[in-house]
Amino acid sequence: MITVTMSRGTFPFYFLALVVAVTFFEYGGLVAGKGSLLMTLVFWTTLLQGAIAAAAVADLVGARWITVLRRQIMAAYPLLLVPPLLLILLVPRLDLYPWAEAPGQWLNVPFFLLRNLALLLAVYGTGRLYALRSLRGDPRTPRSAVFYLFAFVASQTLVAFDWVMSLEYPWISTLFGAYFFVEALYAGLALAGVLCFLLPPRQGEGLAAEEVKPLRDIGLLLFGFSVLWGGLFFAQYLLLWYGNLPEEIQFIARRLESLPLRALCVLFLAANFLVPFLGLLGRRAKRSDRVVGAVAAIVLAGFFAERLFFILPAAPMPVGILLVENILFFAFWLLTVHSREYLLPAGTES
Amino acid sequence: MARFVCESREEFLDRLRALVDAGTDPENIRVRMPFYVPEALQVLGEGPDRLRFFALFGGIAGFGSGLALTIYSVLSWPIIVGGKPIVSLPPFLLIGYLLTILFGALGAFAGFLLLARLPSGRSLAADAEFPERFVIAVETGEGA
Repeated sequence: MITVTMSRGTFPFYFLALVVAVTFFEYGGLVAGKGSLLMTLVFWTTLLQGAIAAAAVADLVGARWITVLRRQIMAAYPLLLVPPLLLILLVPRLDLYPWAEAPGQWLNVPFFLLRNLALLLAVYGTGRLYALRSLRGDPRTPRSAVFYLFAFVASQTLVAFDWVMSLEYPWISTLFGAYFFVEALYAGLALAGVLCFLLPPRQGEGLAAEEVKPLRDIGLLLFGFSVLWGGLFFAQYLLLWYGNLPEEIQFIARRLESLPLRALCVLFLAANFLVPFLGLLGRRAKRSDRVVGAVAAIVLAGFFAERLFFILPAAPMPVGILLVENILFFAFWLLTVHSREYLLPAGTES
Repeated sequence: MARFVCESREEFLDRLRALVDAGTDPENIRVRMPFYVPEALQVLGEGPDRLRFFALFGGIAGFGSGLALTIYSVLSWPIIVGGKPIVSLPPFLLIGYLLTILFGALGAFAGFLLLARLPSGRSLAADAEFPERFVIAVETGEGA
């Protein structure tokens, strides 16, 4: 049971404490590996941006489930400010990238920082505008949702191309950007599924008992996204497999030749496709908050394994620091959502 | 065969409930509705829709057939292409996936025809007779 709550006055201090703690673990000289901050940054940028993006899509199409989870999801919008801060913290680690020694026109440190910071701040700005309008029930909400989604898609594409793909420079895959933002939406929905289970919407939040029911839509969406994710992954894999070109195939070959990474590959394929597909196939499973929550948690674990699969061979990292940083982030996210009544303006909508 | 014609949805549901409460076996009751009334199925105690199993088994059969077709073909005409093994699953999964959808859809359609007893020359009541009314027919004996 969480008893600590944040208010608008104390939020910046907790926020600062998170950043200081991450800095300490990363640069305190505890261990030698360098990749954990990058891994944490990539994973949480996906989750935080994806959750707001899933809400924005739901608002645009008039989905019912968002009315139930709006306050929980929107409460985490201030955390969109974390990725730009962590990106600045990442500057001393940019020597991880093979292009850092021989910078080109696109891949050089100043331009890399400039474009990524600008996009992350744009995501924060549009996300803040969208979240506040959506909470107020402002009629201009759909327009700000569209602006947010544009910024989100551009930012996730750069996360894919700049942060992850360029670790293996000169390896390229043109699908990587689309793959990442679809994954981010999927991860955002999974986060909403976990929310349903951890902090179920209360009737007191302007909700009648029967309004809590549409949560099963999240189960349906997770099922659909598992198929879409499987399709995208397979489309990417099949082309690499068929072409069998040395410059393309080395990315996969390098990752599948040793055991821990090969096991990770099986793990994330099972967690992101097989488990949600088979687990949520039945009608009854989709209506159970426990099943949807458990499947959503497995999907998130799958994404963690997948990001690790991409990043680990290029940027070795100490497992302990990686876990500590991610647990810190998870705790901070949970605390923010838990304190939503103190952080968000009083809502009038249901 | 006893037949009841109702003008409104409420009257129809009341009559249906009264029939079931009076001990009429729901198996013997046939209803005809100008639009879908989900409460009628609850009153008649219809179980969950069986149609989904047709789609599921159609899909599984399609996936199996797709793999069987491709593997049988390459084993019958073994030509090595691009240095890949003769039986290489990644491209075969595509055929399996496509046949999953095809057989799943055809299975669901066939199941719909079977469960709805279509096409059938024998209908509950003539179309022209009750165009916008609710009809309840109770079968009282064999061949009724």
